[in-house]
Amino acid sequence: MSFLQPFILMALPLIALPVLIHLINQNRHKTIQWAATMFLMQAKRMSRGMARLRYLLILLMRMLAIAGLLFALSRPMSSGWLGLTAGSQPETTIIVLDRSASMSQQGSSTGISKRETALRKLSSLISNTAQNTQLVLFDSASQEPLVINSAADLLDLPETEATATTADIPGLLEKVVEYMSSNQTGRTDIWVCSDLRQTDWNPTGGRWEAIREQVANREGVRFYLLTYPDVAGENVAVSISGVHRRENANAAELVFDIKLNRAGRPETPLQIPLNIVINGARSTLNLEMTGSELIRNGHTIAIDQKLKQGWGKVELPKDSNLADNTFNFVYAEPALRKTVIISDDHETAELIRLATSIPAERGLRSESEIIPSASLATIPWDEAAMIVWQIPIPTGATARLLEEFVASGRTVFFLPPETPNTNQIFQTSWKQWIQTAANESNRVSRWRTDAGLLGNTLSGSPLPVGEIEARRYCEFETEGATSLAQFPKNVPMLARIIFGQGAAYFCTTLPKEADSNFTSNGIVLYVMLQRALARGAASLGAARQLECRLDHDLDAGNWKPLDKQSSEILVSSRTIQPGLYQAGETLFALNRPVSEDRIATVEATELEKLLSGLDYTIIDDAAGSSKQLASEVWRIFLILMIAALLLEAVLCIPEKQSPPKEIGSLESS
Amino acid sequence: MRDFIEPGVIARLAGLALDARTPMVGSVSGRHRSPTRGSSLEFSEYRKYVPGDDLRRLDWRAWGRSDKYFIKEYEADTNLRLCLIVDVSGSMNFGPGGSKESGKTKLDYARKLAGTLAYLAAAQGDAVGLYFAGQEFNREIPPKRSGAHLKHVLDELGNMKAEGETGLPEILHQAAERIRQRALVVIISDLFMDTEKLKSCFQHLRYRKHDVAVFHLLEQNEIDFQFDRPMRFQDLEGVPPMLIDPTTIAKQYREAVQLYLEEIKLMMRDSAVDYRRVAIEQHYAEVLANFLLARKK
Repeated sequence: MSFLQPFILMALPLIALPVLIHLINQNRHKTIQWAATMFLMQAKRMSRGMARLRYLLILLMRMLAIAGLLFALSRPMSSGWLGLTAGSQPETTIIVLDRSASMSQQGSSTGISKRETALRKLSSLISNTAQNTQLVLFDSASQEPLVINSAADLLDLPETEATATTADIPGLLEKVVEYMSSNQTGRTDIWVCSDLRQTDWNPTGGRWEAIREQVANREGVRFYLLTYPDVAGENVAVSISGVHRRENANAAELVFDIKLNRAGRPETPLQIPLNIVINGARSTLNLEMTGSELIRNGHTIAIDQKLKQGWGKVELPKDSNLADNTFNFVYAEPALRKTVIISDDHETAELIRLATSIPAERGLRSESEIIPSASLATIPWDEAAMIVWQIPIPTGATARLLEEFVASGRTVFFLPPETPNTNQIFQTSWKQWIQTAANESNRVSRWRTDAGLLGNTLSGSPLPVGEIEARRYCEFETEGATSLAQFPKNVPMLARIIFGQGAAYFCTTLPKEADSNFTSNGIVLYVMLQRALARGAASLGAARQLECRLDHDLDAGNWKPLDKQSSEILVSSRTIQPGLYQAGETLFALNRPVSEDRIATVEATELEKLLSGLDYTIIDDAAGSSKQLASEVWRIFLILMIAALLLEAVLCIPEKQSPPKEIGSLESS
Repeated sequence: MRDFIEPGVIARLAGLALDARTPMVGSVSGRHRSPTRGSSLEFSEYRKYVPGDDLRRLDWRAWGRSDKYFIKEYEADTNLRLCLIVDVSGSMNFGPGGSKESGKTKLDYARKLAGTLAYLAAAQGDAVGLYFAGQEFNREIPPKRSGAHLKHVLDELGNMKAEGETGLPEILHQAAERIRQRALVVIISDLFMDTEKLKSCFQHLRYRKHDVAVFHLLEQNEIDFQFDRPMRFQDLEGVPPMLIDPTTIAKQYREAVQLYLEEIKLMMRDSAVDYRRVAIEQHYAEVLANFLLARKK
């Protein structure tokens, strides 16, 4: 328990006052000559027991009354989680704030979001109970530590505002562990405020084990999970995909796929008026939704034939989560998705070409080109959306060109050459080929399903990555690569390195029949390469659909807002808030990642597994809840004091006595 | 006259004789009934003449009526032996509100009662004896009738002091044995002792055919126990002092007192003792007047 006026507790020795007064009173006695001592002795014998107990109870009640008064004056806080659990205030309090779009879900009657609720409660708790602790905020958008002077600032900081990003909770915790190690934070309380979405927590990812291990090795670290797992009573999320412009001789139209996700009571039919805004012109599409998902593919809207590019958005009526009611899009003539395959291995190159040259969507144009190592000078650096590199890692000018290529937002997909060299690029180098033993199964055992090239499909179904088996793989050495898929014994199959705006991928096996079964399970190879290509192509063309995330490489400051809502967003927040912008000829539409629409949360048992061995407390809360994490409970002590005084008074009531008899009036025998 | 004998009280009580409830055996003629036949004017009974009887006591009228000889017998009147036994234990030094102020203690009260009774008894020609019941039988004045003896008794009463533990039960037993002839035994005490011990004493006295009267002296606060703060009770008979918060034991104290008084009362009734419970706040003249009136024949 913690106290707002703890110095008053220094007066606690006053509890002994009744005993002291009792002793003083005993010493202040008057001496009387007494004749009827025999009755005194009898009365003393008779009074042992209840009378003595009564007297002790009176003393106890008086002590309780003083204790109650002192405690009431010291303003105790109930559930003072910070102080109560460890007996003292933590030296450091780290707040891990999930700012993902799903945390914007509001309480049914209060209109206060989960994120705001968590912030208010934490601010109140820390302000009241842990003024002397160092406060450090880790928000999911920036993932950077921010030292805060006062807990009251939590509500006003731009770093705690709502975003349309997704959260990487394991990634954040890795950063927290790193911070604790480098700053020697001492006794640390870590408050994790999150809605426990599976997409944010990625419980099947391989990072939790390392986090658990590192935290368990530190003393005095305690986790408090302020969770908001409740799914909104009635909420619909909208997203669109595959936006492209189609034109024939007489007219032009915009084609896109609409997807609605519904939480709440999916069995009840729901009429949804969907507003579609294209270049400022508004129209309404009435949809009837039954079930938890509605997909309308190939929805078309006629547009001005003269307009080759433009912007738009779809909007839903207000519901419990405002963050998923709007989805922005931009359109333009699609850029050519050109893949350049640098390889001397004809078989591998052909397989890659096949997988990359077939477009994933209608209206897209894909093209692949194989270039041998002898003709590196002919690589069309400016046209390519992705380069597949299956020759030894280059050095010098070629390496720099590759880095610039990735930094500009495009993709390089590295495959191991037959004879790897020791050169390093993106802090990664190939080592040697390993042949899997004939009797050994080397299937992919773990992969990231929440995001990345092997993530689940939009409908949440996983790709059959577990069926991929490598007969031969090439080891590599890296620093800073994120593993996306692993063979047994933590041997990586696919790893990613973010560099600038783009990404470099390292796949440790080849799609050839001799090396893996990629070809017999072609879907994984196709999806993997198409996603890598799509990522690279996103930085090309005049219309770019981006997922909100803090991206310092985007020159958002020079963007020009296309609608009113976008113009109200701070420049520093443009990449983490949904919006529509134009930079030169290029249009940008930023939206929440669609994974935020998935409502699956981490189950309690799963959460226990993730945090097993750690010192943690889970506090389930709800959006808009007014129940305080810590509240003043002086009234209880005041009531206790009054009760003690009343009881003392009752105990002090003298027993009913018959009026004294006059001795002289007694009859004589 | 001593200061504890007030002429006013004597004058007021002079008209009330001190009577014995049972026949007394005295050496001289007096106003008290004797168990033997005597020469008083009060007829008692007839009995047959036997040779040797005094012919003057022959009832000639009865002979005339019945032709038989009857001797007419009369009650014998004799004097009374008043034996005053005064408790001189330390507890008798207790006065109102615990004070030991001279003239107000139980002992002073006892002195007045005993002195006045002695004076009245002597005035009507009765013998007066005095016994002090202290730790031992430290003073014994056998009953005598002379004026000088009364002076001696009053002197002793005037000089008596209370101290130490009570020896009343032992004294009463000894008195029962030593007082050979029937007597009016008046005990003046606070009776703060084991009631069982007292019971045997009174039974002993009654067995010796004494007329026993008891003045039980009490102070009102000894019964009520009205205190509101811790007190150090200093016993007057030498028990170590006790520091007590009276509020914690008041109820039990009163219960103990009540039980004791009931036992005393019952015991006195069973032993046919003329029991007088006296509050020392009450004037002794009134107490004595009631006592004498109740004993009037």
